[in-house]
Amino acid sequence: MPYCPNCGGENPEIASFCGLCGAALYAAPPLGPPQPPPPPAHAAVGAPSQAATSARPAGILHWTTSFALATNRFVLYDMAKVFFWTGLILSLIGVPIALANGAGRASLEEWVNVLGMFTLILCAMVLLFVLIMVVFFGNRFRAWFYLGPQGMAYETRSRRATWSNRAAIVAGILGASAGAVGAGLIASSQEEMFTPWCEVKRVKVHPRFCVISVMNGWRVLFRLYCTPANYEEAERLVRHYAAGAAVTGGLA
Amino acid sequence: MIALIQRLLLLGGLCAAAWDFTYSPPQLVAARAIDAKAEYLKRYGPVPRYRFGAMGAAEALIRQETNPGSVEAYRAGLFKRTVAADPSWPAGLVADLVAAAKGGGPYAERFAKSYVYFAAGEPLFAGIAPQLRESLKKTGYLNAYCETGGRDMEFMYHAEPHSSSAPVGVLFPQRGRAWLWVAGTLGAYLLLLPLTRGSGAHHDLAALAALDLLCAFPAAFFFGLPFRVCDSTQAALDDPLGGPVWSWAVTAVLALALIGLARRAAWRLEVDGQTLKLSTLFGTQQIPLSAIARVALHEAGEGNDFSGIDIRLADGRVVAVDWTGLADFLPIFDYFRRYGVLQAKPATNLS
Repeated sequence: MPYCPNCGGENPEIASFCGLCGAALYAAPPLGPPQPPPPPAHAAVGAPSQAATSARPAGILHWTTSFALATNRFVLYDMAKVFFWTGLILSLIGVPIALANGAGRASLEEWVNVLGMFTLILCAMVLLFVLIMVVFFGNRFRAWFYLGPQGMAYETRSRRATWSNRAAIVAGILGASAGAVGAGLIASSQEEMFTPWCEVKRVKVHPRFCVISVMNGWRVLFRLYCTPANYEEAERLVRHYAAGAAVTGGLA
Repeated sequence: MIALIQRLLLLGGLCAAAWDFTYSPPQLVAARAIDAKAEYLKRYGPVPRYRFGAMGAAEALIRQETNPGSVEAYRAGLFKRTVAADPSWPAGLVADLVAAAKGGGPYAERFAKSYVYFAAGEPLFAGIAPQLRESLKKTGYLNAYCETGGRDMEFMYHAEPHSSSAPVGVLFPQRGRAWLWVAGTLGAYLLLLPLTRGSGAHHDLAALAALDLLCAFPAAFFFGLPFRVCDSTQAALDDPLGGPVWSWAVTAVLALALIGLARRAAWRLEVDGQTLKLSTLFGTQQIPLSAIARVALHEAGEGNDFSGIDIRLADGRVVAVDWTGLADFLPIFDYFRRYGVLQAKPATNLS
């Protein structure tokens, strides 16, 4: 068990950097620095220079942390995005159907009313989800994150989440509800995730919140919820391993 | 404290908007000018030619076999249920009621389904409202009549305004003001928003603002719901322990949630010179940096969701700071590191 020379924290054998304060655990890098990364496809905004990112060795960083749910702008934004796209897609499907129904303007007015009702239902669902986050999860979610040469990983460490996922599946089977089973299975499949660096096309860093958003060409793959103790090291590793990705934001 | 005032203003303003949006007068009076002769002919005269088939034939037969009496007798039948005309009525009242039916005159916007609607408390009909109420007691749903200036008028008294066909402007007379409340409240909320900002580590104010709105609007909705669902605003207030109490209980729960959000919004940890300032909703705790013995990291682990730091003071006290959901904590953390008080506890879980 290596101990951190900076903070004294206990670290697992595979760690090359302290999971608590981010300091290097060894004088020499246990894992050799990777090959110089290819030049970034896009100009990185606010990114440190190439020399700065490769001056320190790369390695492995992993940590367990709790992140906020209802009072977290990223969670709220992701939820709002899902509901917005759901509403938009339903509108795009519904308006032509309403128009083709023959009643013309009257039918369209009916559809506008339906859309208004649908918006109210969506708002109620958002409120319900926020209530679940606050009441059931206590507005926090414990998870384990990993950054290494192969990619990044995430694992749910919230027992409530894993139990509720299993409960949804069992309740769905007992109640013959395919929807509940499906929801439980989808949630279970998200309990552990791994993304190789080759899939990463864009990175957006949010040092104010110690969050790093890792994206492919069109969506967020991962949100790395770091701690103030390891954020700088996590950002450095992401910049190092995802060297081909466009990075926006940052400490620099 | 500003954070709490800001949220109470938001809740109060939106509830005021809900009140104005749903407020309806306790009773309504519907009035119209009638022409007894025309009505007599419509009811007992020849069947119009456009009525075909069995129904038209049946109606013709009924009229043929019915002895309606004279127009005067018909009018006298109506005037069994009368109210006394108010001498203070303007001379052109009946003409205005007739004009309203044609979409003109001062009462055009109060016209709906043959009648012109007024709140029972309005000065114009306040004088006859008690008579109408008495008439309603005697005759149930039947209308009452009066003669003024040689013209006949018919009145309906609606003790349950929401069941009437009154236009929105009469049924919900304060609805226009509701939008002003909403705009003013949101404006005041946004104006106060910069005052809640400040230096140091704090909760994410944008997320809190989104949650404020997500709590305040439904709170106002559930506050106003009973006024809309019951027969009138007064009916909801007269029976608060019926249905309204459940709706208002939801409002109360959401109000408590807003107070919780205010508590988070007011929380702040900042370094001010040689002092660490911990601000909460009800006060500020100042800790001289010299009083800090060490700052220990506290990581979430098995059965422990707390993720943050323990500030251990020289006198043995411990101030625990949970950094979950905090913004701008990095500079504070760096300050502790530079100040040389940062010390990690043995990791609770690093598996």
